[in-house]
Amino acid sequence: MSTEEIAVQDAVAGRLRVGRPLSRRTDAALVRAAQRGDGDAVDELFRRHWPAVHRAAWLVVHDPAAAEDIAQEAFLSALRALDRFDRRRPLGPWLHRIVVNRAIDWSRARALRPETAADALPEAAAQDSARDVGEDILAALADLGPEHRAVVVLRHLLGYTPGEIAAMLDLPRGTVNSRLRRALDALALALEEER
Amino acid sequence: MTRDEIEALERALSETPLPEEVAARERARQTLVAAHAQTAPRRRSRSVRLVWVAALAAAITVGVSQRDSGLAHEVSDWMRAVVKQPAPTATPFNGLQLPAAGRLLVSEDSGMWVVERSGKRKRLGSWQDATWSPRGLYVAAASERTLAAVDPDTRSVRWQLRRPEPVSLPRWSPEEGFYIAYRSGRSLRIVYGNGEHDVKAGDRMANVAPAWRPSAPRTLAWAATDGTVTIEDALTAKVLRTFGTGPSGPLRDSLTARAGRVRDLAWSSDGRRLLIAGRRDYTIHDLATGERDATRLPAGTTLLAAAYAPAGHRLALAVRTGDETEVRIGGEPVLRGPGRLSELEWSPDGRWLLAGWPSADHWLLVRASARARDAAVSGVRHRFGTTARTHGWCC
Repeated sequence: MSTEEIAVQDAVAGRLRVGRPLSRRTDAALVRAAQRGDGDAVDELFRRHWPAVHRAAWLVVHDPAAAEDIAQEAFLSALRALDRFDRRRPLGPWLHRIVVNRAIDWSRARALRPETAADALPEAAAQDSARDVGEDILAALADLGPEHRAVVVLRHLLGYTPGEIAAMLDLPRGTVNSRLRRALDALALALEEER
Repeated sequence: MTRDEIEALERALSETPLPEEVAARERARQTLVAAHAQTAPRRRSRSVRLVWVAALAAAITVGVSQRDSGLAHEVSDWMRAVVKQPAPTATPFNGLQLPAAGRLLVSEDSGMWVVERSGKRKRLGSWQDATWSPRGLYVAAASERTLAAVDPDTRSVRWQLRRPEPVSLPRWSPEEGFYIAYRSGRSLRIVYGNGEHDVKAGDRMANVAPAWRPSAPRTLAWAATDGTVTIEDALTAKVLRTFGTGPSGPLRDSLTARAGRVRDLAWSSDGRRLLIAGRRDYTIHDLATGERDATRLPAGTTLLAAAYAPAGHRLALAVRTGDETEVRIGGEPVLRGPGRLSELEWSPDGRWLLAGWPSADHWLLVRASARARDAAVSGVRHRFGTTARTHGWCC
């Protein structure tokens, strides 16, 4: 049975409707429980953080398989380092730092060793009724370099300040600001041309 | 970038469906849980013990009574035992077969398809958008710069017209089907149902499907890019009502108006109520009394789809919070699932509600009884890709 079918059967059987909602426990409490071996805590940490981590990876690499691998590897790295994790620090930024840096590395490697011609890459799928603008934006984002995509994702998807982004990517703050400005200018220009 | 462009960027980043979103999440979750199980100390929490006890009890129950077993019932019973909450009745998969009479219009990358109740599907052609005629005899189909009326049985094109600008969002007027409203470029246009007398009816039309009023088949509601919604007579072009966004307009305090974004328009079956929906709020206008009922969704929650039932005032909404989408009928949740559930379609008899689940290649079907808690849910796997969208379930 495929994972899709399992997920659908969950929904059909009502498991998703009446199943465990996310608790009010803090990340720190969940990390503490996970360090003690509580599988439910690991599961809840995963459910809290996977959507943003997976999305960030996909927006930087624009490759579904790679995004899944990168996001999954970020969680496994976090799990392996759980015993050493400082619970006073928030978990989200730690995961985001891992995943975005890995996504940048993967994109650079891909650029050096392309597996397919650029024009053969599939386009991103979208189903929203307002997809025309969204598609234009994502297409313009895909045309940027991975370093620029990463700062856009960290700033405008994950909501970090330029100072925080600088710390996450180990860059001078001025570099982050200039990458962000150039990226937004390029996106604005692309959108203008589409109109 | 302007503030609007930044908002559009952030919306695209946070809302664009990811390929195989649900499957990827489940694969990763299983990998992570397995990795943790190998490294974690051998201590099981009380809740885990309870789950095992409940699972054992469910297994025994299933073993004793095989007559009505089946995976769906097992899981349903199991969940009742564990959480002691009412769960919807589970229905096993039945292959691609629709539970009610009628045919579905479905688009994907390869074009437009008609899906029969039996599950048999027929390709109409490489159309990107479409709508049924009132009795399902024809389909108004759009692709690039062409609008056409297509016979869904023979796939023959009855008539077509070409426009200099892209054509989308065709909607056939109800009852006699005299008119088709559609978007060309950024204009609203209306053409007779026989393809003649194609006229421009409005400027600055938003990327929102126009909505014909069921009880008054010449009356159309449409949204402009600034958030203004106009109700007008298609024959005389007389504006009957405008929901403006100015300081004294009825939408002045809504997020929809402030953002200048209307995402959905829908009429109740009697044509009395008009739903104007944005991303974060929606307003129902009662045109008989002049009353309006505005609802603002909590932060982090977005409205994905809305559909009035073909009879009565039941309104179905798909609302997304985090990585889950909840489907509500009349305000009562009937289904919650991971990822994005959208493209709500009522069956022609109003007994079933279909919710598209693009990332899982499934349609979820809710049997909409009078009480939401009695709703039953089933699922069918379709053979379309992740870009599949439904465009109407008709007669």
